[in-house]
Amino acid sequence: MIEPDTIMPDNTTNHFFRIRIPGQLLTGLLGLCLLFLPGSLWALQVTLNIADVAAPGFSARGIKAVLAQNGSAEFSIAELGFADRTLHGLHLHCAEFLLSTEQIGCLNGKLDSLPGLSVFLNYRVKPQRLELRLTGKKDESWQLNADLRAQPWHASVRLRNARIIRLSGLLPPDGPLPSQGGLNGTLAIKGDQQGVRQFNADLQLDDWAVSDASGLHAAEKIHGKLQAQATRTGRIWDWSGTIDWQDGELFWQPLYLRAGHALQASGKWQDGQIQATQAVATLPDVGQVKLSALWDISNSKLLDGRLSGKQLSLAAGFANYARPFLENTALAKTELKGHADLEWRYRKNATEALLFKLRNVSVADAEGRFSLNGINADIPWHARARSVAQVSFADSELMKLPLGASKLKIQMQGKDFVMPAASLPVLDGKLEITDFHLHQKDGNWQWNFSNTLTPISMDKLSAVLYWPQMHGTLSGYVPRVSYQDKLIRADGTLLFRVFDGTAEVDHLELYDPFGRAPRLSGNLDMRDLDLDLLTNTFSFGNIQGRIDLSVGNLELVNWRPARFDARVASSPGKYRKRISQKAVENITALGGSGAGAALQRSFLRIFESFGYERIGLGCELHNEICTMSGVDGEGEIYTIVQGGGIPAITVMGYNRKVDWTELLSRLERVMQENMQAVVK
Amino acid sequence: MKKNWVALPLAGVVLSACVTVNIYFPAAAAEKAADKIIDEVWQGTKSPDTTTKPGAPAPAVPVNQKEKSI
Amino acid sequence: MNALIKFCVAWLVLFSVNVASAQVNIEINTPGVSALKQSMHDRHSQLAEFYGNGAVGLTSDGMIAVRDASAVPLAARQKVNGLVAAENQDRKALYAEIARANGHPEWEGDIRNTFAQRWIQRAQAGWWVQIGGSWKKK
Repeated sequence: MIEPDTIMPDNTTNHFFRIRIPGQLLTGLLGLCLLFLPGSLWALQVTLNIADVAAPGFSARGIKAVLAQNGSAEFSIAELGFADRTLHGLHLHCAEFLLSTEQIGCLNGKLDSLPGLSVFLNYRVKPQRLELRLTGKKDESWQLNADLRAQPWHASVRLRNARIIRLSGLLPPDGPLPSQGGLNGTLAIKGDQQGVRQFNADLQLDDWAVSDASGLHAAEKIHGKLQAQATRTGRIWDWSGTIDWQDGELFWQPLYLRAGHALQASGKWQDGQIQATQAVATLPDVGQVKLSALWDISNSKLLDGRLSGKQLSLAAGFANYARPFLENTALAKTELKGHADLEWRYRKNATEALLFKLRNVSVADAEGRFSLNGINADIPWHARARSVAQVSFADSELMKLPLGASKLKIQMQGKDFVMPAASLPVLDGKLEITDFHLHQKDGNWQWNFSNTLTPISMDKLSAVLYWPQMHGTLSGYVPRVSYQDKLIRADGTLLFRVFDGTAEVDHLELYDPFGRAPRLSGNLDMRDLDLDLLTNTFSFGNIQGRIDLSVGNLELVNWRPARFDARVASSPGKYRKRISQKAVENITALGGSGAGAALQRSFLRIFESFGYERIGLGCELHNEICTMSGVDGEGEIYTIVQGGGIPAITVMGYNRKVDWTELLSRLERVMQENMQAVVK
Repeated sequence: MKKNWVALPLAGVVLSACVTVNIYFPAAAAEKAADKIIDEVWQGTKSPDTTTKPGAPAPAVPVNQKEKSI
Repeated sequence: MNALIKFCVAWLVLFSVNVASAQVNIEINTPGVSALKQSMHDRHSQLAEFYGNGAVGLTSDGMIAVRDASAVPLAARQKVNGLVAAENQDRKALYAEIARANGHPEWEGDIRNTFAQRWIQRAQAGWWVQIGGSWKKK
């Protein structure tokens, strides 16, 4: 920088100032300092150091100016602080620097932190008018005009294709930062001795892209309009504004939103608290929501809030704004339809009231586990008051089982919900629920109720569940069904009357019902089943007689047996005992292909059926292996059908360890073949 | 003499402590199991069913029937 | 007292040798493990892409996490989030189910640790894994 011919023993003057100034006189400061320089030094290179400048809300440290003989100048500020932000190492080079008692000017300037922008600065001392123009390629321009002498003083900023990426340095580095986007429009400021008094902004956002480092808070291709105005009276600002989001998309974990949103708001701003008194948000495909809020800026905390909307569409409303927060719950795959009125009140760090009115709403699980249609409800929930919710629905379905219309009355007090009685039609019977109680304990929801199932016909039940057609009834009384820590437990007994016998299910427990691998455990005890009906239903070759079936320690995981201790045995008592040739073949076919052929080849094939004394077969399933047992037996050999009568037949098993999946696939094959035979 | 009085119950306590140590975790077997599952989860196009049951017991020996008196 | 400690140590050694010889296999052929495995296998066809481009990485605690969502178009980030949440739910259930199916629910933590190491060790080249708290590309 220093030309050899200008070097002098003492070519530099150093001045150290410590200056405290009121906010609005900053602009003229540098000029004033320079005016104090002796005129004789003007021809030389001058370096001017200013220790620091401080004003309320503004500070600058390590200010240095170097004025060269060719008319250029260098200015640098080591640290510039304003409005809680600090910029480091600002450096301005002016190709042509003008300094006179009339004006200060910087032509063809370059600012290091704003590459590609040419700086034009002109300050006319006497009228205190400042003009700052930053211009760049593609018609980019940031223009500031200020009249500091006028009362009130005023300034305006005009932006044309201003690239927002230049503002990155002013934003908190850990938040979302812009990577592209343009700004057009104007900002106008008016002020007095106490500072800014009025503020107006009218901006158009073009093609913005912002993102934080993780990409979890980001927006792309954003186009929109922002209008805001604020006026200060004493320490209180009155503000109003509108935001119109015209195009683009936003991901703010876990929400993903698209353009079409608009917000209109007004309110007050005082002492770090911003208040929106009348805000209206337009949510695309949902409706309009009225808002009011009191927000603590420094703590980023909502102090008071109220939100209400009428006739909101739930389809988009639930999918866009609620479901993303329910990713780990049973509602993660739920679709809603219908309309709702909603009111939400928030105060003292908690929801104070939540009022819902649902109109013709339907809820459906995309995986078909549950659905509820024609819901109309009035749910006025208050955190600290007792109230009653009325819910009615036209029909519903749980695990493919259709349930009829019902009306429910629910007493609510805080996080405690009680439903004294409800009646749900199930096919031709009814599920009567009493004393339903839902509440929260240690932060986890739990519920319990007792129920009675009045008899429903197995004909209908087997039809709707696509089971083989069964006859009989299902009924039961369960004194207590409870849910706690993902476990549904039923104390009591479910009673079936099927195949002319009885069946009892008790100790039923279902763990993680909506999880990937729900686990059901319980005991099943069936008595005096009519084998004739049973074998015909399951197309397994006719057997006549009666059997008892007991399944202990039953455990189904993902509705597949993981463990059980099952035993089939002829019931005590006197009755006709015959087993058809087909059934014998099928039992033997369970032993593997080819075994059944032995009977076919022997002379026994001339008999249609055989007599037997006892049937007995046990299977203890553990780790996918079934340990078999029969009527009796020792070692690896056991008797499955004990012969008796004329002609008698005895069926033996020769292997006690059987692979469960293999056994199942054989059983399936046997039943399929028989089904085909019936069709012929 | 007095020392023995202390030592005996202490020995009991320590011994029972020793016994509880044996509930340990079969790390090598777990690693093998993990590898098998990871293989199946991460395999590309192959159907997982083809590998679900290696090491399963042999299928049942045919259950024979025999006839008695006519 | 010294003798007593020696005695105890001797017992300990004897006992562990004894038990080690009776070591059992870890049983994984259960319907629960199969269901979870199948669900994770089905999901993997969608997740593989995101392991590959670094959007999702394997964490040191046997789970997965969104590492760099910006590798994915904005509209797909919610889906990535959902896949990660569902996968982690399955993984947690898998570790618990294996421990339970083997009659030792208290092994869940050990099983999770074993899996954590194996997932990372067996991850394909180019995938991101978490080692000692920081992300590394394999």
